[in-house]
Amino acid sequence: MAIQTERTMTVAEYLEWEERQELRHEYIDGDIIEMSGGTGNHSKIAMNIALALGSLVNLLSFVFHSSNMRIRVSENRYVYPDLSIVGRAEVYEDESELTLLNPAFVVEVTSPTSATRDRVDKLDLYLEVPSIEAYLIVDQDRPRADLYTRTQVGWHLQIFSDAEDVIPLPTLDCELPLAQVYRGIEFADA
Amino acid sequence: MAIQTERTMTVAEYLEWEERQELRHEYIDGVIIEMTGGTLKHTRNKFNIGGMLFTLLELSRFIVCNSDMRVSVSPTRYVYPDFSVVRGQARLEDEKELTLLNPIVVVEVTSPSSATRDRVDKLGYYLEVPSIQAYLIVEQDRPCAHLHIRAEDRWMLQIFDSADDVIPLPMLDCELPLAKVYRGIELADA
Repeated sequence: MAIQTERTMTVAEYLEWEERQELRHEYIDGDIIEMSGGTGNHSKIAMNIALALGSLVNLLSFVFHSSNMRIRVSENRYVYPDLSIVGRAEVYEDESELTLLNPAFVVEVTSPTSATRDRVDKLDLYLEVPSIEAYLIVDQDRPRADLYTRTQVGWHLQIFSDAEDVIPLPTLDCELPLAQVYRGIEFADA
Repeated sequence: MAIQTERTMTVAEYLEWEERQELRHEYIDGVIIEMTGGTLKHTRNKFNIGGMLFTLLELSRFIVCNSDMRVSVSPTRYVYPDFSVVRGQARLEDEKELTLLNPIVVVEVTSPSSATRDRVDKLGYYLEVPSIQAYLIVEQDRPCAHLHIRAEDRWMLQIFDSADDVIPLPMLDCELPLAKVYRGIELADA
């Protein structure tokens, strides 16, 4: 969840200010966007994905970060994906290790209110990070996952919405059953 | 614009009922969704796109339809895309000629309120229609177009958001300059 505020800052001001805040804020070209807490489903689904991938990937090869880890997507843009996974040595912006530069895989759990932000704005931003090989957008209100995978000729989209679908994740050398993403999740009437 | 109502009907009931309505309604798996009028920006965007399609396409080879034309995306789903384009002969559902079966390109002009419907629901439907080669989503409020294009058996995404970008539509033998899509439109702050 995010609330756009009127405040604008430089990058340096944002990084210094953000350290003193209780809530997290994303930063896009001078604008501060407050991240508020997610719904029950949002949180459970993010955790389901992390737990499922945790049991599927080689944990010697990959490191997992929650939405506490900030990613720099460009010089003036900092975001907090719901989940990010690094495939090689982590590269941080500086020795504070507050901003990761090289995730290989990012996940956003999305909702109608965040649809444009996750499916347009963040899609654009994540596509610009050279290390990101795949971006998974998971709907919190219905069984639906959109996987964007980087290829030499552009971004490849695969959509998954059936209970028996399996999401192939060659970046992580595994595949993620959609059923595990939504385990224990009840949807309000769609 | 669309309002979800509670009414449910069979396909046959919908097709017969819809003919008697003044406003158009989409039909998804039994549920009727009323289509209401669009905003000024939406309308002007559509006009710009329609104008370009009519000007650029060889009308001996292609048929351009606007949102008056209903498209069946599955046996239980009927929608009215802002534009649909047919190459060669149109395949219609029956002799009433009210439902198109074989568009090769569909276009939707979208906004934050219709983001989920256009970028989640309709994206899912259109990508499953065998005849559709491209689905173009154009934002009404800012210069941004997403082109989902079928490349062999995969769907690829191309993003256009710079003033000098040109959207290639090889299956229509034409290209749409982004600047012309937004000609005359005062855009909100990006």
